[in-house]
Amino acid sequence: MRDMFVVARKELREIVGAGGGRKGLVRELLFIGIFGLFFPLTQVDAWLTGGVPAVFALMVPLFLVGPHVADSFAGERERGTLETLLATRLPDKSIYFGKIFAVCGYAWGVTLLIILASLLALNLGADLSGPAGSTTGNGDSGFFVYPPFVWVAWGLGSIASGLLLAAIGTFVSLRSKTVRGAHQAMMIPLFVLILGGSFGIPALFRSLPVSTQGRFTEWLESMPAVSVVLWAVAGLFVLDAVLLGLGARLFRRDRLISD
Amino acid sequence: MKLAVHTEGLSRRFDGVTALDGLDLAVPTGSIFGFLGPNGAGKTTTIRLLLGLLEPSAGNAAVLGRDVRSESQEIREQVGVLLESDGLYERLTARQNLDFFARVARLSKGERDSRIRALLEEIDLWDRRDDPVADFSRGMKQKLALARAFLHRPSLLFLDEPTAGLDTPTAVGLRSELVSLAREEGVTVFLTTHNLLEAERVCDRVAVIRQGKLLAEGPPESIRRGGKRKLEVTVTGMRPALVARLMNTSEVTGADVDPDGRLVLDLAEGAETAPLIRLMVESGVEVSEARIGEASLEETFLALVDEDVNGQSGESSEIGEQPR
Repeated sequence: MRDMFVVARKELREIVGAGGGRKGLVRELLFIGIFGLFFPLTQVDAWLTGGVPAVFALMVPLFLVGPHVADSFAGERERGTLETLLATRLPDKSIYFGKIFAVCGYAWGVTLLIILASLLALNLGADLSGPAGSTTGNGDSGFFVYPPFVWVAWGLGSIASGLLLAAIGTFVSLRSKTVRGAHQAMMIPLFVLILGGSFGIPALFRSLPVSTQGRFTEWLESMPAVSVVLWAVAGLFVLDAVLLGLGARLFRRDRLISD
Repeated sequence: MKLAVHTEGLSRRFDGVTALDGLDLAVPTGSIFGFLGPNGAGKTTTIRLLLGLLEPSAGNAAVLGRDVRSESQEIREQVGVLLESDGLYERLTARQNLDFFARVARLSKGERDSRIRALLEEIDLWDRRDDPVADFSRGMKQKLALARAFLHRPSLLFLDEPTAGLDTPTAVGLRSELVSLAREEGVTVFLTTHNLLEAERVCDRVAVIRQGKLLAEGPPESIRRGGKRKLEVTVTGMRPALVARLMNTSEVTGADVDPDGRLVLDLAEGAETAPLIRLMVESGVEVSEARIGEASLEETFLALVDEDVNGQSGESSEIGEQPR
C-alpha cells in the first residue's frame, strides 16, 4: 500500500502540473466553471431535482480520467521514464494501482469541487423560491442541499465510473507507443461509455417487451432513488473489479520492456 | 574475491534473434567495470537481464549474490541505475524528482532531506532545486540522474552510456563526478559506453562485446597489450621495394605509408625494432623520427571487432589477469 501511495503522489504532482506548470490548474478551473457554475445557473430546475448533478457525477470523471490515464504508461514510455521506474524496487502492482489510484482520486476530487461549486452557485446565484425549489424542500429560506442519491452518485458513482475508464485506459496506454496514439485510441472507449450511457441503455430498455418494461419501471419506482443509484454503482464496481484484475495480471515488467 | 556481477552462459533471444549469446562475466566488487561494444552489441540487453527486467532465455546470472530470475526485486532494491534515457520527470522539480525516488527507496524523512541536499550540493544544483527539470540543460539532467542513481546508497550502479550526447567539457565533468562519487561511496560501477577514452580513463576492468558475444575481458592496459604494437617512422626517400622488404621480415606483420612520408609498421609479438631502422638507414632512407606506440584501447577494440566480423576470432578470450 505504501508503495502504491508513493507512485500515486508522484502521479498527482505530475497531473496538477507541479514545478511551476499552471496548465493543469486552468483546466480544472475550466471544468469547475462550466459544470459547477455555468450549467447550474442556466438550468436551475434541472439541477434542483438532483437528476442532472447525479448524471454529471458519473460523467465528469470520464472526461477527467481519459487524458491522464492515456498519458500514464504511454507518456512514461515516450518521455523515457518508464524503464527507470521499472528498474526500481517497486512491485508491478504498486505501479499499476498507484497510477490508477492517482487518476481516479484526482477525478473524484475535481468532481467534488464541481458539486460543491454548483451548490454554492444555486444557493447564492439562483432564485430558489419557485416551485422547483419548494419541491426539493428548500422553501423560501435555509440552505439548499442535494437529495441523498446525488451524494451517493458523487461519493461512489464517480469513483466507479472513473475506475471503469481508468481500467480500460490502462490497456490502451500500455499498448500505445506514443501519447498521441493513446489519446486517439482513448476516444473510442470514452465515446462508447458516454454514448452508451446516454443512448445505448435507453435504447436497450425500449427494445425489451412492453410487459418487461412495465415491470422494470414499476420495480424502479418502488425503490428509493438512493437504492437505484446504489444498484447501478454496485454493477459498475463489479465490472471495474473484473477489468482491474485483468489489467493487473497483464501488467508485467518483462512484457513492457520486450514491447 | 567477491563478485558484484557473475554470469554464466547468459543468453537472450527475441523472436529468433539472439541478442546475447552465452555471456560469461565476472565483475569484482568495488571496481569500475566498462562494458564496451558497438550499437546493437547486447549491452543494454545485458543490463536489463541483470536488473531482472527481462527473463534470460538460457544461462544464469547473479547480481550482488542474488539470482536474477528469483530475486530480481531484491536486486533492484540494492542497485542504482542511469539508463539510456535520464528517466527524470520533467514536470517535477529537481528536488521533487529525488524525493520521489528516495520515497521509493523507503528512506526516512530526515535521511531523505539530508541526502537530497548533500547530493544536489555535490553536483552544484542546490540553487536550482525548485526549478522544473524541463528547464535544465542536458548536462544538468545527466548530473541529476546520476545523483538519483546514488541516492539510496546502492552497492552497485548500472550506467548505460551516461555521457552520450554531452559536449566534451560536460562529459569530462560528469565523468569526474561519477568517479569521485563512486570512490567516495565505495560503489561497484557497471558502465556501458561507446567512448573508449572514457573507459580507458575510468575503468579498472573492461569487457568487449559484439553481437551478443564476449570478445575480450580484462584490465584496459592488458586489453591494449593484447593489441598490436606499432613502429611509427617519419622518413624521406621511402620506396615501395623497401616497404616490401620490411614486410618480408619476421618482425613486421603490416605496413602503411601515408602521403606525408610517415611509415607505420605493425610489429609482430616480441619484435625488435633496431634491425628495422638499420635496414631503412642502410637502404638510403633518411629517418627523422621513430616512435614505438602501443595500440590505444580504441584501436584494440576496432581490431577485436574486425577480427570477429571476419570470422577470425574463435572462442571469446580472456586478456590479462583473471579476477582473483
